[in-house]
Amino acid sequence: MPFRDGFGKTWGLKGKVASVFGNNELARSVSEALRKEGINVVDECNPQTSILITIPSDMNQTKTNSLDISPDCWSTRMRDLFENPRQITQQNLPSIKGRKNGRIIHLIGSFEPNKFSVDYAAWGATAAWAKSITRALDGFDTTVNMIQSGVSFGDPLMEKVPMGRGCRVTDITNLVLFLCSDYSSYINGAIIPVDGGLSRFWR
Amino acid sequence: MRVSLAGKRAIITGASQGIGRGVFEVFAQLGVRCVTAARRKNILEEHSKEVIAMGGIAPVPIEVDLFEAGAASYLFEQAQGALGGVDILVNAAGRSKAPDAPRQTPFHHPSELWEKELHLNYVVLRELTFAVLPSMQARKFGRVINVTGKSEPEKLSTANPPKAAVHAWSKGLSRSIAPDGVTINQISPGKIVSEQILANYSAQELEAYGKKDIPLGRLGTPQELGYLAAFLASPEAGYITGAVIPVDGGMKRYAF
Ligand SMILES: NC(=O)c1ccc[n+]([C@@H]2O[C@H](COP(=O)([O-])OP(=O)(O)OC[C@H]3O[C@@H](n4cnc5c(N)ncnc54)[C@H](OP(=O)(O)O)[C@@H]3O)[C@@H](O)[C@H]2O)c1
Repeated sequence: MPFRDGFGKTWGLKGKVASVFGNNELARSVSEALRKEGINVVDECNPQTSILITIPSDMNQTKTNSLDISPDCWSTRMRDLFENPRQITQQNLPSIKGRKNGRIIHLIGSFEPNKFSVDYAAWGATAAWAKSITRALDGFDTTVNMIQSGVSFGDPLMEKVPMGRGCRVTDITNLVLFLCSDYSSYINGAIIPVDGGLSRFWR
Repeated sequence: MRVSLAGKRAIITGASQGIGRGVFEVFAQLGVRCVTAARRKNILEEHSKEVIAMGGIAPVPIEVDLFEAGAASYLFEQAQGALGGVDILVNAAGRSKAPDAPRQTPFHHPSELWEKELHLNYVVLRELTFAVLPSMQARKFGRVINVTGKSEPEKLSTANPPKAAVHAWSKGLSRSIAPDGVTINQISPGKIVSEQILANYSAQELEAYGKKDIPLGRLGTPQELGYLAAFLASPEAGYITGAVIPVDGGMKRYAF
Protein backbone atom coordinates (compact mmCIF):
# COMPACT_ATOMS: atom_id res chain seq x y z
CA MET A 1 0.00 0.00 0.00
CA PRO A 2 1.63 3.27 -1.05
CA PHE A 3 1.61 6.31 1.21
CA ARG A 4 -1.22 8.66 0.41
CA ASP A 5 -0.52 12.33 -0.09
CA GLY A 6 -0.46 14.10 3.25
CA PHE A 7 -1.23 10.87 5.11
CA GLY A 8 -1.32 11.59 8.83
CA LYS A 9 -1.36 15.35 8.25
CA THR A 10 -4.53 16.32 6.42
CA TRP A 11 -8.00 15.00 5.72
CA GLY A 12 -7.50 15.70 2.00
CA LEU A 13 -10.72 17.69 1.68
CA LYS A 14 -9.41 20.92 0.18
CA GLY A 15 -11.53 22.38 -2.61
CA LYS A 16 -14.64 20.26 -2.00
CA VAL A 17 -18.05 21.87 -1.68
CA ALA A 18 -20.20 20.99 1.33
CA SER A 19 -23.79 22.00 1.99
CA VAL A 20 -24.47 22.27 5.69
CA PHE A 21 -28.10 22.62 6.72
CA GLY A 22 -28.81 23.67 10.28
CA ASN A 23 -29.21 26.79 12.26
CA ASN A 24 -27.59 26.34 15.63
CA GLU A 25 -24.25 26.39 17.42
CA LEU A 26 -23.35 22.87 16.31
CA ALA A 27 -24.04 23.62 12.63
CA ARG A 28 -21.86 26.73 12.86
CA SER A 29 -19.03 24.76 14.49
CA VAL A 30 -19.26 22.02 11.87
CA SER A 31 -19.11 24.60 9.08
CA GLU A 32 -16.11 26.24 10.69
CA ALA A 33 -14.30 22.90 11.07
CA LEU A 34 -14.93 22.13 7.39
CA ARG A 35 -13.73 25.59 6.30
CA LYS A 36 -10.49 25.07 8.23
CA GLU A 37 -9.86 22.04 6.00
CA GLY A 38 -10.27 24.19 2.89
CA ILE A 39 -13.82 23.11 2.10
CA ASN A 40 -16.16 25.60 0.51
CA VAL A 41 -19.22 25.55 2.81
CA VAL A 42 -22.59 26.68 1.45
CA ASP A 43 -26.01 26.66 3.09
CA GLU A 44 -28.12 26.05 0.02
CA CYS A 45 -28.34 23.68 -2.94
CA ASN A 46 -25.25 23.97 -5.09
CA PRO A 47 -24.49 21.98 -8.24
CA GLN A 48 -20.91 21.44 -7.04
CA THR A 49 -21.93 19.91 -3.70
CA SER A 50 -20.41 16.53 -2.94
CA ILE A 51 -20.91 16.63 0.85
CA LEU A 52 -24.26 17.14 2.53
CA ILE A 53 -24.67 17.50 6.29
CA THR A 54 -28.04 17.95 7.96
CA ILE A 55 -28.31 19.14 11.56
CA PRO A 56 -31.80 19.71 13.00
CA SER A 57 -31.96 23.10 14.67
CA ASP A 58 -33.37 21.86 17.94
CA MET A 59 -31.79 18.53 18.85
CA ASN A 60 -32.64 18.75 22.55
CA GLN A 61 -35.21 16.25 23.68
CA THR A 62 -38.76 17.57 23.79
CA LYS A 63 -39.85 17.67 27.40
CA THR A 64 -43.27 16.23 28.14
CA ASN A 65 -44.58 14.41 31.16
CA SER A 66 -47.89 13.18 29.83
CA LEU A 67 -49.19 11.23 26.88
CA ASP A 68 -51.49 14.09 26.14
CA ILE A 69 -49.53 15.62 23.29
CA SER A 70 -51.15 17.77 20.65
CA PRO A 71 -51.23 16.50 17.06
CA ASP A 72 -49.42 19.69 16.19
CA CYS A 73 -46.51 18.86 18.47
CA TRP A 74 -46.20 15.37 16.93
CA SER A 75 -46.13 16.72 13.41
CA THR A 76 -43.75 19.58 14.19
CA ARG A 77 -41.12 17.22 15.56
CA MET A 78 -41.65 14.76 12.70
CA ARG A 79 -41.14 17.61 10.27
CA ASP A 80 -38.04 19.03 11.96
CA LEU A 81 -36.27 15.75 12.66
CA PHE A 82 -37.30 13.64 9.67
CA GLU A 83 -39.17 15.46 6.87
CA ASN A 84 -36.75 18.38 6.61
CA PRO A 85 -33.58 16.28 6.40
CA ARG A 86 -35.34 13.99 3.95
CA GLN A 87 -36.43 16.80 1.65
CA ILE A 88 -33.06 18.54 1.79
CA THR A 89 -31.38 15.27 0.86
CA GLN A 90 -33.77 14.75 -2.02
CA GLN A 91 -32.97 18.22 -3.36
CA ASN A 92 -29.22 17.71 -3.09
CA LEU A 93 -29.08 14.18 -4.46
CA PRO A 94 -28.69 15.11 -8.14
CA SER A 95 -25.49 17.08 -7.51
CA ILE A 96 -24.05 14.56 -5.04
CA LYS A 97 -24.72 11.60 -7.32
CA GLY A 98 -22.79 13.29 -10.09
CA ARG A 99 -19.60 13.62 -8.03
CA LYS A 100 -16.91 11.31 -6.81
CA ASN A 101 -16.85 10.36 -3.12
CA GLY A 102 -20.26 11.78 -2.31
CA ARG A 103 -20.95 12.01 1.42
CA ILE A 104 -24.28 12.43 3.19
CA ILE A 105 -24.18 12.76 6.97
CA HIS A 106 -27.21 13.18 9.20
CA LEU A 107 -26.90 14.27 12.80
CA ILE A 108 -29.49 12.42 14.83
CA GLY A 109 -30.36 11.92 18.49
CA SER A 110 -30.89 8.82 20.59
CA PHE A 111 -33.91 6.63 19.90
CA GLU A 112 -33.55 4.62 23.07
CA PRO A 113 -36.69 5.70 24.94
CA ASN A 114 -35.52 6.34 28.49
CA LYS A 115 -38.83 8.13 29.07
CA PHE A 116 -41.78 9.22 26.98
CA SER A 117 -41.02 11.72 24.22
CA VAL A 118 -42.30 12.56 20.75
CA ASP A 119 -38.75 12.55 19.40
CA TYR A 120 -37.92 8.84 19.35
CA ALA A 121 -40.36 8.01 16.57
CA ALA A 122 -38.94 10.79 14.43
CA TRP A 123 -35.29 9.80 14.96
CA GLY A 124 -36.22 6.20 14.25
CA ALA A 125 -37.87 7.29 11.01
CA THR A 126 -34.79 9.21 9.95
CA ALA A 127 -32.49 6.29 10.72
CA ALA A 128 -34.61 3.74 8.83
CA TRP A 129 -35.01 6.04 5.84
CA ALA A 130 -31.32 7.02 5.71
CA LYS A 131 -30.28 3.37 5.79
CA SER A 132 -32.73 2.58 3.00
CA ILE A 133 -31.41 5.24 0.63
CA THR A 134 -28.01 3.54 0.60
CA ARG A 135 -29.80 0.87 -1.45
CA ALA A 136 -31.26 3.46 -3.81
CA LEU A 137 -27.76 4.84 -4.33
CA ASP A 138 -26.58 1.45 -5.54
CA GLY A 139 -23.74 1.91 -7.98
CA PHE A 140 -23.03 5.54 -7.02
CA ASP A 141 -19.87 6.52 -5.24
CA THR A 142 -21.88 7.97 -2.34
CA THR A 143 -22.15 6.96 1.30
CA VAL A 144 -24.87 7.84 3.79
CA ASN A 145 -24.11 7.72 7.51
CA MET A 146 -25.54 8.99 10.75
CA ILE A 147 -23.85 10.47 13.78
CA GLN A 148 -25.89 9.93 16.91
CA SER A 149 -24.85 12.58 19.37
CA GLY A 150 -25.02 12.19 23.12
CA VAL A 151 -26.13 14.76 25.66
CA SER A 152 -24.36 18.05 26.17
CA PHE A 153 -23.07 19.61 29.35
CA GLY A 154 -25.83 20.56 31.76
CA ASP A 155 -28.32 17.96 30.47
CA PRO A 156 -30.07 16.07 33.28
CA LEU A 157 -28.90 12.79 31.70
CA MET A 158 -25.26 13.80 31.99
CA GLU A 159 -24.74 12.04 35.30
CA LYS A 160 -25.52 8.78 33.54
CA VAL A 161 -22.77 9.17 30.92
CA PRO A 162 -20.08 6.53 31.64
CA MET A 163 -17.39 8.88 30.30
CA GLY A 164 -18.44 11.34 33.00
CA ARG A 165 -18.82 14.41 30.82
CA GLY A 166 -21.12 15.89 28.22
CA CYS A 167 -20.53 15.79 24.48
CA ARG A 168 -18.18 18.48 23.18
CA VAL A 169 -18.53 20.03 19.75
CA THR A 170 -15.09 18.69 18.79
CA ASP A 171 -16.23 15.13 19.59
CA ILE A 172 -18.71 15.57 16.75
CA THR A 173 -16.59 17.59 14.33
CA ASN A 174 -13.70 15.09 14.49
CA LEU A 175 -16.01 12.31 13.32
CA VAL A 176 -17.65 14.57 10.73
CA LEU A 177 -14.22 15.23 9.18
CA PHE A 178 -13.35 11.54 9.18
CA LEU A 179 -16.65 10.64 7.53
CA CYS A 180 -16.27 13.41 4.93
CA SER A 181 -12.80 12.19 3.98
CA ASP A 182 -11.86 9.47 1.51
CA TYR A 183 -10.64 7.42 4.47
CA SER A 184 -14.22 6.43 5.27
CA SER A 185 -14.89 5.17 1.74
CA TYR A 186 -16.35 1.79 2.76
CA ILE A 187 -18.46 2.97 5.72
CA ASN A 188 -22.03 3.17 4.50
CA GLY A 189 -25.38 3.04 6.27
CA ALA A 190 -23.77 3.21 9.71
CA ILE A 191 -25.13 4.85 12.85
CA ILE A 192 -22.18 5.94 14.92
CA PRO A 193 -22.92 6.97 18.49
CA VAL A 194 -20.76 9.75 19.92
CA ASP A 195 -22.22 9.59 23.39
CA GLY A 196 -19.50 8.68 25.88
CA GLY A 197 -21.08 5.24 26.24
CA LEU A 198 -24.52 6.54 27.29
CA SER A 199 -26.61 4.29 25.06
CA ARG A 200 -27.68 0.98 26.55
CA PHE A 201 -27.69 -1.04 23.39
CA TRP A 202 -24.89 -1.53 20.88
CA ARG A 203 -25.32 -0.62 17.25
CA MET B 1 -5.94 11.43 7.62
CA ARG B 2 -5.37 13.61 10.61
CA VAL B 3 -5.08 11.75 13.88
CA SER B 4 -2.53 12.02 16.68
CA LEU B 5 -1.16 8.50 16.91
CA ALA B 6 2.60 9.01 16.54
CA GLY B 7 4.51 7.32 19.34
CA LYS B 8 1.56 5.23 20.54
CA ARG B 9 2.16 1.50 21.12
CA ALA B 10 -0.15 -1.20 19.82
CA ILE B 11 -0.68 -4.95 19.76
CA ILE B 12 -2.33 -6.16 16.56
CA THR B 13 -3.35 -9.81 16.40
CA GLY B 14 -4.06 -11.51 13.08
CA ALA B 15 -1.47 -9.20 11.53
CA SER B 16 -0.10 -11.70 8.99
CA GLN B 17 -3.15 -11.55 6.70
CA GLY B 18 -6.27 -9.68 5.74
CA ILE B 19 -7.72 -7.13 8.12
CA GLY B 20 -5.02 -7.26 10.81
CA ARG B 21 -2.39 -6.73 8.15
CA GLY B 22 -4.27 -3.73 6.76
CA VAL B 23 -4.65 -2.19 10.21
CA PHE B 24 -0.91 -2.62 10.77
CA GLU B 25 -0.06 -0.90 7.46
CA VAL B 26 -2.17 2.12 8.39
CA PHE B 27 -0.86 2.26 11.97
CA ALA B 28 2.80 1.94 10.96
CA GLN B 29 2.42 4.82 8.50
CA LEU B 30 0.88 6.95 11.23
CA GLY B 31 3.86 6.40 13.48
CA VAL B 32 2.46 3.72 15.80
CA ARG B 33 4.93 1.16 17.20
CA CYS B 34 3.24 -2.19 16.69
CA VAL B 35 3.65 -5.69 17.95
CA THR B 36 2.35 -7.80 15.09
CA ALA B 37 1.13 -11.24 16.14
CA ALA B 38 0.24 -14.41 14.23
CA ARG B 39 1.39 -18.01 13.86
CA ARG B 40 3.29 -17.43 10.61
CA LYS B 41 6.21 -15.29 11.76
CA ASN B 42 7.94 -15.54 8.39
CA ILE B 43 5.06 -13.64 6.77
CA LEU B 44 5.11 -11.01 9.51
CA GLU B 45 8.84 -10.50 8.94
CA GLU B 46 8.58 -10.27 5.15
CA HIS B 47 5.71 -7.81 5.38
CA SER B 48 7.51 -5.76 7.99
CA LYS B 49 10.32 -5.13 5.49
CA GLU B 50 7.82 -3.84 2.91
CA VAL B 51 6.19 -1.50 5.39
CA ILE B 52 9.54 -0.15 6.58
CA ALA B 53 10.56 0.44 2.96
CA MET B 54 7.43 2.58 2.54
CA GLY B 55 8.45 4.70 5.53
CA GLY B 56 6.43 2.93 8.21
CA ILE B 57 7.67 2.39 11.77
CA ALA B 58 9.38 -0.99 12.27
CA PRO B 59 7.14 -3.48 14.07
CA VAL B 60 8.04 -6.26 16.49
CA PRO B 61 6.71 -9.53 15.00
CA ILE B 62 5.74 -12.13 17.60
CA GLU B 63 4.86 -15.71 16.85
CA VAL B 64 1.92 -16.96 18.86
CA ASP B 65 -0.75 -19.61 18.42
CA LEU B 66 -3.86 -18.28 20.09
CA PHE B 67 -5.26 -21.78 20.46
CA GLU B 68 -2.54 -22.59 23.00
CA ALA B 69 -3.28 -22.23 26.71
CA GLY B 70 -1.73 -19.08 28.19
CA ALA B 71 -1.29 -17.47 24.75
CA ALA B 72 -2.92 -14.18 25.76
CA SER B 73 -0.72 -13.56 28.78
CA TYR B 74 2.36 -14.69 26.85
CA LEU B 75 1.62 -12.19 24.06
CA PHE B 76 0.95 -9.38 26.52
CA GLU B 77 4.23 -10.01 28.38
CA GLN B 78 6.19 -10.09 25.13
CA ALA B 79 4.58 -6.83 23.99
CA GLN B 80 5.13 -5.20 27.36
CA GLY B 81 8.82 -6.12 27.14
CA ALA B 82 9.24 -4.99 23.55
CA LEU B 83 7.22 -1.75 23.68
CA GLY B 84 7.39 -0.81 27.35
CA GLY B 85 3.59 -0.55 27.48
CA VAL B 86 0.49 -0.97 25.37
CA ASP B 87 -1.85 1.92 24.51
CA ILE B 88 -3.90 0.18 21.82
CA LEU B 89 -5.06 -3.40 21.36
CA VAL B 90 -6.53 -4.45 18.03
CA ASN B 91 -8.01 -7.96 18.11
CA ALA B 92 -8.14 -8.96 14.46
CA ALA B 93 -7.26 -12.66 14.66
CA GLY B 94 -10.25 -14.88 14.05
CA ARG B 95 -12.18 -16.61 11.34
CA SER B 96 -15.65 -17.30 10.07
CA LYS B 97 -14.97 -21.04 10.03
CA ALA B 98 -12.13 -23.54 10.37
CA PRO B 99 -10.40 -24.09 7.00
CA ASP B 100 -11.52 -27.72 6.80
CA ALA B 101 -15.05 -27.16 8.15
CA PRO B 102 -17.97 -27.35 5.72
CA ARG B 103 -19.37 -24.10 4.43
CA GLN B 104 -22.66 -24.76 6.11
CA THR B 105 -22.32 -25.71 9.79
CA PRO B 106 -24.36 -28.93 10.22
CA PHE B 107 -26.67 -29.59 13.20
CA HIS B 108 -24.41 -32.40 14.35
CA HIS B 109 -21.23 -30.28 14.32
CA PRO B 110 -19.18 -31.62 17.27
CA SER B 111 -19.16 -29.60 20.49
CA GLU B 112 -15.38 -29.46 20.69
CA LEU B 113 -15.32 -27.75 17.27
CA TRP B 114 -17.93 -25.19 18.37
CA GLU B 115 -15.79 -24.54 21.42
CA LYS B 116 -12.66 -24.04 19.37
CA GLU B 117 -14.29 -21.28 17.33
CA LEU B 118 -15.71 -19.71 20.49
CA HIS B 119 -12.21 -19.70 21.93
CA LEU B 120 -10.54 -17.99 18.97
CA ASN B 121 -13.32 -15.48 18.23
CA TYR B 122 -14.26 -14.52 21.78
CA VAL B 123 -12.35 -16.06 24.71
CA VAL B 124 -8.85 -15.12 23.54
CA LEU B 125 -9.84 -11.58 22.76
CA ARG B 126 -11.44 -11.19 26.16
CA GLU B 127 -8.32 -12.57 27.86
CA LEU B 128 -6.06 -10.22 25.93
CA THR B 129 -8.29 -7.28 26.75
CA PHE B 130 -8.19 -8.06 30.46
CA ALA B 131 -4.41 -8.44 30.26
CA VAL B 132 -3.89 -4.95 28.80
CA LEU B 133 -6.63 -3.11 30.71
CA PRO B 134 -5.06 -2.48 34.15
CA SER B 135 -2.09 -0.56 32.73
CA MET B 136 -4.36 1.39 30.36
CA GLN B 137 -6.60 2.38 33.25
CA ALA B 138 -3.60 3.40 35.34
CA ARG B 139 -2.34 5.57 32.45
CA LYS B 140 -5.82 7.06 31.87
CA PHE B 141 -5.65 6.28 28.17
CA GLY B 142 -6.38 3.12 26.29
CA ARG B 143 -8.09 1.80 23.20
CA VAL B 144 -9.41 -1.68 22.53
CA ILE B 145 -10.72 -2.38 19.05
CA ASN B 146 -12.28 -5.74 18.26
CA VAL B 147 -12.84 -6.87 14.71
CA THR B 148 -16.03 -8.88 14.94
CA GLY B 149 -18.61 -9.70 12.27
CA LYS B 150 -22.07 -8.77 11.20
CA SER B 151 -24.80 -9.46 13.76
CA GLU B 152 -27.09 -10.84 11.12
CA PRO B 153 -27.21 -14.62 11.31
CA GLU B 154 -28.02 -15.68 7.76
CA LYS B 155 -27.60 -19.35 8.58
CA LEU B 156 -26.24 -21.65 11.24
CA SER B 157 -22.61 -20.65 11.71
CA THR B 158 -19.92 -21.24 14.32
CA ALA B 159 -18.83 -17.59 14.02
CA ASN B 160 -22.06 -15.78 14.83
CA PRO B 161 -22.43 -16.69 18.52
CA PRO B 162 -18.86 -15.70 19.50
CA LYS B 163 -19.08 -12.41 17.55
CA ALA B 164 -22.38 -11.61 19.27
CA ALA B 165 -20.77 -12.50 22.59
CA VAL B 166 -18.06 -9.92 21.94
CA HIS B 167 -20.67 -7.25 21.18
CA ALA B 168 -22.59 -7.91 24.40
CA TRP B 169 -19.56 -8.36 26.65
CA SER B 170 -17.76 -5.25 25.45
CA LYS B 171 -20.82 -3.02 25.76
CA GLY B 172 -21.00 -3.88 29.43
CA LEU B 173 -17.26 -3.48 29.88
CA SER B 174 -17.27 -0.10 28.11
CA ARG B 175 -19.38 1.34 30.92
CA SER B 176 -16.93 0.42 33.67
CA ILE B 177 -13.73 1.52 31.93
CA ALA B 178 -14.98 4.80 30.43
CA PRO B 179 -14.21 6.86 33.55
CA ASP B 180 -10.53 5.92 33.11
CA GLY B 181 -10.34 7.23 29.55
CA VAL B 182 -10.29 3.73 28.06
CA THR B 183 -12.64 3.00 25.17
CA ILE B 184 -13.63 -0.31 23.62
CA ASN B 185 -15.28 -0.46 20.21
CA GLN B 186 -16.14 -3.10 17.67
CA ILE B 187 -15.74 -2.92 13.92
CA SER B 188 -18.01 -5.34 12.12
CA PRO B 189 -16.70 -6.09 8.63
CA GLY B 190 -18.97 -6.94 5.75
CA LYS B 191 -16.95 -8.58 2.97
CA ILE B 192 -13.35 -7.43 3.09
CA VAL B 193 -10.75 -8.95 0.78
CA SER B 194 -8.65 -11.28 2.95
CA GLU B 195 -6.98 -14.67 2.97
CA GLN B 196 -10.02 -16.51 4.35
CA ILE B 197 -12.50 -14.70 2.11
CA LEU B 198 -10.45 -15.62 -0.96
CA ALA B 199 -10.21 -19.21 0.27
CA ASN B 200 -13.91 -19.57 1.09
CA TYR B 201 -15.45 -18.00 -2.03
CA SER B 202 -14.65 -18.11 -5.73
CA ALA B 203 -13.87 -14.91 -7.62
CA GLN B 204 -17.19 -15.17 -9.49
CA GLU B 205 -19.12 -15.59 -6.26
CA LEU B 206 -17.48 -12.54 -4.74
CA GLU B 207 -18.17 -10.40 -7.77
CA ALA B 208 -21.81 -11.44 -7.87
CA TYR B 209 -22.10 -10.85 -4.14
CA GLY B 210 -20.68 -7.35 -4.45
CA LYS B 211 -23.07 -6.43 -7.23
CA LYS B 212 -26.16 -7.92 -5.64
CA ASP B 213 -25.79 -7.41 -1.90
CA ILE B 214 -23.47 -4.45 -1.35
CA PRO B 215 -24.76 -0.95 -2.18
CA LEU B 216 -21.22 0.26 -2.97
CA GLY B 217 -21.03 -2.62 -5.44
CA ARG B 218 -17.67 -4.06 -4.37
CA LEU B 219 -15.75 -5.71 -1.56
CA GLY B 220 -13.78 -3.54 0.84
CA THR B 221 -10.03 -3.47 1.39
CA PRO B 222 -8.30 -4.15 4.72
CA GLN B 223 -6.94 -0.59 4.70
CA GLU B 224 -10.44 0.85 4.44
CA LEU B 225 -11.16 -0.86 7.74
CA GLY B 226 -7.73 0.15 9.07
CA TYR B 227 -8.52 3.85 8.71
CA LEU B 228 -11.52 3.54 11.00
CA ALA B 229 -9.41 1.57 13.49
CA ALA B 230 -6.85 4.40 13.41
CA PHE B 231 -9.54 7.02 13.97
CA LEU B 232 -11.04 5.08 16.89
CA ALA B 233 -7.57 4.58 18.38
CA SER B 234 -6.82 8.29 18.33
CA PRO B 235 -7.48 10.76 21.14
CA GLU B 236 -9.82 12.51 18.67
CA ALA B 237 -12.35 9.67 19.10
CA GLY B 238 -12.25 9.61 22.91
CA TYR B 239 -16.03 10.06 23.30
CA ILE B 240 -16.92 7.02 21.18
CA THR B 241 -17.18 3.84 23.21
CA GLY B 242 -19.28 0.69 23.40
CA ALA B 243 -20.18 1.04 19.72
CA VAL B 244 -20.38 -1.53 16.94
CA ILE B 245 -19.49 0.18 13.69
CA PRO B 246 -19.95 -1.61 10.38
CA VAL B 247 -17.42 -1.27 7.57
CA ASP B 248 -19.42 -3.07 4.96
CA GLY B 249 -20.26 -0.76 2.06
CA GLY B 250 -23.88 -0.81 3.25
CA MET B 251 -24.23 -4.60 3.16
CA LYS B 252 -26.02 -5.31 6.43
CA ARG B 253 -29.81 -5.17 6.20
CA TYR B 254 -30.91 -3.85 9.56
CA ALA B 255 -31.09 -0.11 10.08
CA PHE B 256 -30.65 -0.18 13.86
N1 LIG C 1 -12.83 -10.47 5.77
C1 LIG C 1 -14.11 -10.33 6.02
O1 LIG C 1 -14.88 -9.98 5.14
C2 LIG C 1 -14.65 -10.61 7.39
C3 LIG C 1 -16.04 -10.63 7.56
C4 LIG C 1 -16.55 -10.83 8.83
C5 LIG C 1 -15.70 -11.01 9.89
N2 LIG C 1 -14.35 -11.01 9.71
C6 LIG C 1 -13.48 -11.20 10.88
O2 LIG C 1 -12.34 -10.38 10.83
C7 LIG C 1 -11.23 -11.02 11.46
C8 LIG C 1 -10.07 -11.06 10.48
O3 LIG C 1 -10.44 -11.84 9.37
P1 LIG C 1 -9.73 -11.82 7.96
O4 LIG C 1 -10.80 -12.00 6.96
O5 LIG C 1 -8.79 -10.69 7.85
O6 LIG C 1 -8.93 -13.21 8.05
P2 LIG C 1 -7.58 -13.76 7.39
O7 LIG C 1 -7.16 -12.98 6.21
O8 LIG C 1 -7.80 -15.21 7.24
O9 LIG C 1 -6.55 -13.49 8.57
C9 LIG C 1 -6.70 -14.09 9.81
C10 LIG C 1 -5.54 -13.72 10.70
O10 LIG C 1 -5.72 -14.32 11.98
C11 LIG C 1 -4.56 -15.05 12.31
N3 LIG C 1 -4.90 -16.24 13.09
C12 LIG C 1 -5.85 -17.16 12.81
N4 LIG C 1 -5.84 -18.14 13.71
C13 LIG C 1 -4.85 -17.86 14.59
C14 LIG C 1 -4.34 -18.50 15.73
N5 LIG C 1 -4.81 -19.67 16.16
N6 LIG C 1 -3.31 -17.91 16.40
C15 LIG C 1 -2.80 -16.74 15.98
N7 LIG C 1 -3.25 -16.08 14.90
C16 LIG C 1 -4.26 -16.64 14.21
C17 LIG C 1 -3.95 -15.44 10.97
O11 LIG C 1 -2.55 -15.60 11.09
P3 LIG C 1 -1.76 -17.01 11.01
O12 LIG C 1 -2.58 -17.93 10.15
O13 LIG C 1 -0.45 -16.63 10.42
O14 LIG C 1 -1.68 -17.46 12.43
C18 LIG C 1 -4.23 -14.21 10.14
O15 LIG C 1 -3.24 -13.22 10.35
C19 LIG C 1 -11.75 -12.41 11.86
O16 LIG C 1 -12.16 -12.36 13.20
C20 LIG C 1 -12.94 -12.63 10.97
O17 LIG C 1 -13.90 -13.50 11.52
C21 LIG C 1 -13.82 -10.82 8.48
